[in-house]
Amino acid sequence: MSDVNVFVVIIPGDDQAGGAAGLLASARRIATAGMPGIVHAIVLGSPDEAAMPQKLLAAGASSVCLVSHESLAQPVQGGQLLELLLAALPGATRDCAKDKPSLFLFAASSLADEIAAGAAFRTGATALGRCANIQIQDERIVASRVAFGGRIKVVLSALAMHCFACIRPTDTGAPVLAGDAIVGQVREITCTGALTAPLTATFEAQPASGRRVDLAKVVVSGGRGIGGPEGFEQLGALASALDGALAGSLPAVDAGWVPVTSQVGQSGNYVTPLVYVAVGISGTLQHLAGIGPNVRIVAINNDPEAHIFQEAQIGVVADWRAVVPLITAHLQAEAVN
Amino acid sequence: MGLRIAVLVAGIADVKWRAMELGVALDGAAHDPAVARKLSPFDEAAIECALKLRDADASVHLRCIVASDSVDAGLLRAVSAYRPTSLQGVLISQDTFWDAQALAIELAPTTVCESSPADLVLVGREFGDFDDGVFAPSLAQALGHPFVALAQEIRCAGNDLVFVRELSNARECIQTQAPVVASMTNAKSNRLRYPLMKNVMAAKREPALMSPLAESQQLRTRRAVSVMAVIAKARHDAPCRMVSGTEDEQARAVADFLGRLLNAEV
Repeated sequence: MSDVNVFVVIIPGDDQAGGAAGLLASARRIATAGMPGIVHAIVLGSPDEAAMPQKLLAAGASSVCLVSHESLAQPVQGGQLLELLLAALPGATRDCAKDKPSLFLFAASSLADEIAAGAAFRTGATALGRCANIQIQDERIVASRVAFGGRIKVVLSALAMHCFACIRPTDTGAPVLAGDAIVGQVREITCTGALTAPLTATFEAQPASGRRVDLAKVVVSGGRGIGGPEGFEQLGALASALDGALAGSLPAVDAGWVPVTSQVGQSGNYVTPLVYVAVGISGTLQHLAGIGPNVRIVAINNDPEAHIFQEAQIGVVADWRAVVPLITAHLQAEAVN
Repeated sequence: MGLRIAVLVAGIADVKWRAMELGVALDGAAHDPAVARKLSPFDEAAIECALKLRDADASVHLRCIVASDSVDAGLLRAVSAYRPTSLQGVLISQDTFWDAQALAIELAPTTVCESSPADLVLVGREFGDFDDGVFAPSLAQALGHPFVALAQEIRCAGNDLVFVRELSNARECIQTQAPVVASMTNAKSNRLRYPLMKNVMAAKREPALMSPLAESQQLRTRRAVSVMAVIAKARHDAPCRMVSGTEDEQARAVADFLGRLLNAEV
């Protein structure tokens, strides 16, 4: 029996971002360290795919609660999703031990930040922010997260009974149950109370910028040394070969070579991929502040004195124009074999 | 009176300082006052967007609130150089900075402009060195206002405000009436202008005081986290393995490294 009630809150877009089932698997490890514990799933709005409830059950969810409202605006907005969550919480948590702390986990995103912080505020719970790790110690929720642009890790203990937190799912969410072993139930909660009118939103289409950098397992990033937007096409090809995301440093964003949503650094995204391929990036502290401290860096730069080599695990002093296409070709050849 | 805008900024420790030089104690309480605070890119975006609105309408009331855990008034003077209509320096204890919700409760009353609530409250998407996105939505909750996240530009459209933000495949324009809280993210369009030199000099001559706020009963009851430990992060100790050889040999070595790493993960 877990010391804490653990819930994952799935919001629209989570599957694209990295997998609702992956979030659930990460939550199961948190629920009882070393022995996957009981985790309930709350799905807000229409699931990204019809089979999501079954996926969550197969990934080990003890129950799945589908929360809907006919007046939910599309695309979804944080304010309405927050209202939906608050309306559904009593029903979604009715079978849980009331004398135990509860932890509500979201897959990290700006929308999740907004909902988690708002829900914590409205329920008198603790908002833990974007956590690198969460543990349950003596029925208390203890979280670690970075501060000072990634230069410091802080371990926080929640003083409130209940907590809302965001994490980056690190598990694949592969099925752990099948057939009769799946005993969890799916419930539906249809909220009928009036929702606040959505904010009026209009959209101007732009070329898709591909996979989100903040949740990718591999990030290929270019800097001033790339020299122009054409070079980012080659970096994009390398990112595709690695099933990763394309990113850029501030100078590349300022030059208009990559969109600001793909910027990595103190003034951009904070990324924690498995590996970060830095091409034509000198490695200023401002840029490194956007890269998680445990990330392996592969540096390619024609300047042997570039600071990035002091931070990288593996380095290549060469012209990226020659090396990057060759790396892509080798990876593609390896994939074929 | 025109639009009332409140901009909250917190500043960040200069990024040139490494973890061990920041002086943050193991319990998170202490901080080296020698480490200067600077405006973060998100603070700058919030200020610049407010200045653009004032450029378009001289009747805009621009109030800036500078929250810091340092008595160093450099940050306050940096903001003062943009000549806001009113400016307040607020000294916040560092344990409150660790708790974004408590900080939002404490700072919400400071957004009042000349006895009237602000129509538009702007804050960087991360508020200082301790926040990672909790403060701005918490402030919206504390004020009871709608919230727009990660805006890059703001303009007035009649009685409405229009917030422009960039999504992965579209630009989104959100139109709403005041009051509203928005978190700002940096973009090429909101890079902070340089202040006029005469205003920089005037700001240096003016008294600048960081004053503590009286801690409210509500804040005392809402403080929700305690700091257990602070750990300086080092990326790794081993030196970089430099790959030599021909370009093809270098490329093959990198491809092998990446392939091994990703296969091990699978």
